[in-house]
Amino acid sequence: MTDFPDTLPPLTLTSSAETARSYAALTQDWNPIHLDPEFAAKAGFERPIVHGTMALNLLVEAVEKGSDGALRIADLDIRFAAPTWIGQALTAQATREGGETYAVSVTADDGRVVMRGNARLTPRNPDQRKPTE
Amino acid sequence: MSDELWTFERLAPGAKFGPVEVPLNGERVEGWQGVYGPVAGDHAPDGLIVAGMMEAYIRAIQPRPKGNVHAAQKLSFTGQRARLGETVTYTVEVLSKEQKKGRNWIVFAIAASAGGTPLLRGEVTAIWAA
Repeated sequence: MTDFPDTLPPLTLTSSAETARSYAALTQDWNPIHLDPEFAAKAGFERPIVHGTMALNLLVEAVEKGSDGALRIADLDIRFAAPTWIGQALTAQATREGGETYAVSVTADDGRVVMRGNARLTPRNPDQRKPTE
Repeated sequence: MSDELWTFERLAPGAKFGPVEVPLNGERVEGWQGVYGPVAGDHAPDGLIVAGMMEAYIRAIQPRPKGNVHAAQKLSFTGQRARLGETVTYTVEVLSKEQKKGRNWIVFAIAASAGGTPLLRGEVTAIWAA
């Protein structure tokens, strides 16, 4: 039986113009609000903002790496609460609320919670593999 | 493909887009590793399927207004995994939309599968810019 820890080790990623370009290429999300300081300023932001799902995927990675691959996200429900500026460090955390349910969040290095919600974790079944075609 | 912008008015609940195919090729794996570090084993990280979901969501609905905001996200993973090198197929559907406080809220449902095996279902809640 898999243990569900009270917390998973936090995982931190420092964003940069380079990670923003990599993530834009990965997702084909070239929205200039993530890449262009001038465009971001016109949109009312002090700097370009991190792609929302870059923070979300940091959480997905935190579950995978923090459990040494034993746990995965089954269901997740989050909202993006605040923008993260390019150049800031992001930290993903998960705290058990009971059973398989965890409160999850991503916090920027100025203390703001930029993503929050909850997730249901489940053991990753090593036999549950898509067969090779 | 039409050049007409996909505005809030045009995006009707029930409208379907795609399929969009996203190969889990070397370029995407390198992009993933450039942000999150090395990929272990021959299966795609769950997050790579999420990244592909965003690519499909963007490619499926074009042209789109600039400045849309990704406000919230739901995900349900089936537990089935894709192998690196496979192609993931995504479909996108408009689930609902409403105007609140002068903002255009739309919920999109996105499903991912590989070789006919479901991998992921997601709901993107967006504030549509125009």
